Amino acid sequence: MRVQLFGTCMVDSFFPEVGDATVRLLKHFGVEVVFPHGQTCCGQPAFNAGYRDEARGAAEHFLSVFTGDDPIVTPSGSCAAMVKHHYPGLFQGDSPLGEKARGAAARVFEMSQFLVQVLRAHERVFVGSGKITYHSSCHLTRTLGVREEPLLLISALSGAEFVPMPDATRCCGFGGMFMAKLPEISCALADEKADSIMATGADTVTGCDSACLMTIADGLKRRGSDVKVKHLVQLLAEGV
Amino acid sequence: MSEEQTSLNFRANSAASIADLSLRAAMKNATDTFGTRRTAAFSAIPDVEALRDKASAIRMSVLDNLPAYLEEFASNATSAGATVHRAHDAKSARELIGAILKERGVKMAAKGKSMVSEEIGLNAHLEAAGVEVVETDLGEYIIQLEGETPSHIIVPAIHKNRQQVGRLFADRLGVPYSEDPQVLTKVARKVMREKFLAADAGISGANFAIAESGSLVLFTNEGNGRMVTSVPPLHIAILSVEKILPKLDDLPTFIRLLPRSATGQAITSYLSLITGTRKEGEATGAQELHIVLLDNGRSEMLAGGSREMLKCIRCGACMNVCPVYRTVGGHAYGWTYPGPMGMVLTTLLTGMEKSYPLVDASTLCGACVDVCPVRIPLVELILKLRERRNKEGFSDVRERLGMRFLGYAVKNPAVFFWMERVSRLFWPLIQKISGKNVAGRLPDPSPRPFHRRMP
Amino acid sequence: MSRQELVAIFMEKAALAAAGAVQVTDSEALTGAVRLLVHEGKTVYCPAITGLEQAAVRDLATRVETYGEADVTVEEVLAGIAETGSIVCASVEGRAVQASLLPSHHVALLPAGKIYATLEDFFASLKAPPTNVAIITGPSRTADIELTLAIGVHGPERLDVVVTSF
Repeated sequence: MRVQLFGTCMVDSFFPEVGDATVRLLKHFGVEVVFPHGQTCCGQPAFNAGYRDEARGAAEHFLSVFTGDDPIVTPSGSCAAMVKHHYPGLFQGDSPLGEKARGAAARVFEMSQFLVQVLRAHERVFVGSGKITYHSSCHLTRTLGVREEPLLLISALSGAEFVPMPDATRCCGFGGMFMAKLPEISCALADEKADSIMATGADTVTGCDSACLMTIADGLKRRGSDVKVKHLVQLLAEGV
Repeated sequence: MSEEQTSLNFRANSAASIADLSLRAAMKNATDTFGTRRTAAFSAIPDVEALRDKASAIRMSVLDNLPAYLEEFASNATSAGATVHRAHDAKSARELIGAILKERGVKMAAKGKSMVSEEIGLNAHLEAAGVEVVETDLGEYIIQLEGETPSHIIVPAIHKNRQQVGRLFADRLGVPYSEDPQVLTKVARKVMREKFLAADAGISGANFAIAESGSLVLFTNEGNGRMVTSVPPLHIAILSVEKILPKLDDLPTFIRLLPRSATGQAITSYLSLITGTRKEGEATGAQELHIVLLDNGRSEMLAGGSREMLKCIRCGACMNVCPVYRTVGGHAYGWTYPGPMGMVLTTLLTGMEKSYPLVDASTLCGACVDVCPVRIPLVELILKLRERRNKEGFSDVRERLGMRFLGYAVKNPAVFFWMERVSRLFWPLIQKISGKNVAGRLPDPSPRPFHRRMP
Repeated sequence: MSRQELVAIFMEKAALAAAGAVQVTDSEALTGAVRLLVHEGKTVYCPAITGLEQAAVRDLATRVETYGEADVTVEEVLAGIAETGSIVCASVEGRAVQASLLPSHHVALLPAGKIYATLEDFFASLKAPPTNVAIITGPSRTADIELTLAIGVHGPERLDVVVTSF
C-alpha cells in the first residue's frame, strides 16, 4: 500500500518531529510513504479568515501537487477537514478542478482515521506508560466526526492509563487567526483547558492536531505545569 | 437602536470581562449548568435529529413564504379582535407604541420579557414620554433596577451572583439583605403583584405567532407573561416578523425543542395561546390588543445569502455552548444579542460598519452548530460575514497584505520556503513585533523543516 | 394504550414538574382529597359550575366570591396532556383563566377522559381557539438567579391535579 503524506505547514516549520513520527509509524505498518514535494499549505488560515480567493489558490496548488488515486494522509484533523469538507465548495461543480477537489476529498484521511479504519492499528499492541489524557480537537470531532479512533489507539498503548478530561471537546482557543486577533480570549480558553488537563492528574496530554497541542502547551506553561504534550502519532511511534 | 452599540469595542470589552472574576465564575456556572441540563433533557427523548430536521424545514417554509403568512396572520388576528400594525423600523415601532399608550392615558405599563423591545430601545422612549415601565420578568427586573442591559437572551441577569442580587434588593427595595434565591423571588412576587393589578397596560413579546389562527404564543415560567397579557385592559405585543409559524399543528415540534434547548426543561410552566380580544361571554382576555409586527432589517436579510439566520427561535442554546461567550459574557458583544446568533444577527441588522469586530468573535469550533434546534449553519454564516468584511474593506490592512502575500506564497513553493527560512532567522524580531500573546505562544521554528527531511 | 396507562403517564410527568397528582375514583374520595389539599383557614374560590366542582368543595367552609381575594382556586380544567403532564385552562364557558394564575394555590380537577396522549392530539382538537388558552405544567418557577430553581414566582406557588375517573 502506498500513501501520499501531507505534512501541513504547521508541522513543517514548528513540529517536524510529528512528521518524522508519522512516517516512522506508517513504515512500521509496511506502508510506502510518498512525500510530494512542493506541498505548502491547505489554505485553511486564509479560508477561515474570509479570504476565499487566497484559499482557492492554495487549494488549486494542493490539487496540482497531490495527484492520482493514493490515499492522502495527514497528521492534522483541521487540515483533513479543510480538504474533505471545503475544497469541493471552492470550485465550480462541473469544472475539472471541482472534480479533482472531490477526488481529493474522497481520499484524504486524518492519521488516526487511517490507522484505525485502514490499518486496524488499534488491534496491535504498543508500548506506553504513565497517565494519558486526550484533547478532542474541534474540526476533527465535529467536522470529520472522528471521535472513537484516537481513543481506540490510546487504549492500544499497553502500560499507559487513560484518564478522560472534563470538557475534552471544548475548544482550546487556537481558532487560527483568532489567537492573534483576540489573544486575551484565546489565552483564557487555553488556561481553562490547562486546568482541565491538570485536574486529571495525567502526566501527558495528547491529541491529533499540532495547532491545538501548541496552544495547550502554552497554556500549561502559563500554569507552571510540567504535563508533557505529545501528538498521538508520537506516542504510537515511540511505542512500536 | 437601543442603548449605544459598543460592538466596535469587542476586544476591549472582552479584555475587561476576562479580568472580572465574579463575571467569569457566573458565566462558568451558567454555561456548565445549561450544558448539563440540555444534554439530560435531550437524552430523554427519541429521534432528536428528526425533530431538528422537521423544525428546520418548518422554519424554512416560513421564510420561503413570509409575506403570505404575515398576511394570513394579520387577517386572522384582526378577525379575532386584534389591531395589527406593521412597523418598518425601530423608530416607527417605538413611536407607534408610544402613541397608543399616550392616547389611552397609560401611566404605568407592566412589561413581560421581549428581546425585540430591547432591540428597538422601547423602554427609554416610553420613559422619556412619562410612562413608568415595570419589567416583571425577574431577570429583567433585576437588571432594570441595576440600570443594565440583558447579557443573555433567556436569563438576562445571568452575569449577576446571588450576593449582588441580594445587595441590590436590599439597597433599592429596602428589604433585609438575603442571598437566598427563594427569598429574593418572594420579594419580587410581592412587589410585582401590586404592579400587575395596577398597570394600565401590559406589554409583551411573543415566541411565535400562528398564521392560521392569528394567535400569539408565549412560553413562560414565572407567570408574569400570563399576567401582563391578561390582567390589564390593554395589551400590546411586539414581535419580529420571522416569528411566524404556519399552523397550530406546528407547535408540538417547537414545544419539544425550545424549552429543552433553552433551559433543559421538558416544557415551560406556562404556554399561553392568545387569540384576539375578549369575546362575548368570556371573562378572560384584553379588551384591546395591539400586535406590532416589526421588520427592522428582516426583509433585507430575507433577500440575502444569510437568510437562514432568520430561522432562529431565540433558544440561547448556541451561546450556552460557545467557548467565547462563556469567557466574555453577553455585554462584550455590545448590542442586544450575544454569542453565536448575536454575532451574526447584530452584523446583519446593524451593518458591517458598526459590527465588524464581532465577526472574529469565534474560533469556528462548531459547538453551536451541534446544538441549534433549527439547524442554522452558524459557522458558514460567520465565514460568509468574514468574506464580506474583507471585501467591504473592514479588515486590518496588515492582515489583508499578509493574506495576499500568503496567497501568492502557497502557490509558489520556492517563495513559501524562503518565507519560512526568513521567519526563522528573524524570529526574535517577529515575536517582539507581534507581542507575547501571539508569536510568543508559538515554539521556535525548526532549523530543519519537515520537507527537508523527506526524500 | 389504555385510559389508566394514560393517567399513569400523566401523573408521572406532572409530578416531575413539581405538581401534586392524585387520582380519585368516586365523589366521596374527590371531596376528601380536596379537603386534604386545602390547608386550614385558606380561602377558596370555585366557579362551582360543574358537578365535579360542586362535589369537590362540598365540605369547604371558607369560600370566597372572587379569585382575586382567594388563597386557593379549585376548578375543573378543560383538558390534560399526558406527554408533558400538563393541564389546560381556557376562556370557555365564561371561565376566568386568571383564576389559575392569581391565587397562590391551584387545585385542578381533571376528568381522566379529557387527557390527551400527545401535544399533537391536543392541538388537533383546538380548531378555533378561544381568546385565552393556558397550558400549565407545574407551579410557577424561575432560575434567573444563578440558575438556581425557585418555585413560586408570580403565578401559583403550588399546583395540585386531582384526576377523576368516575
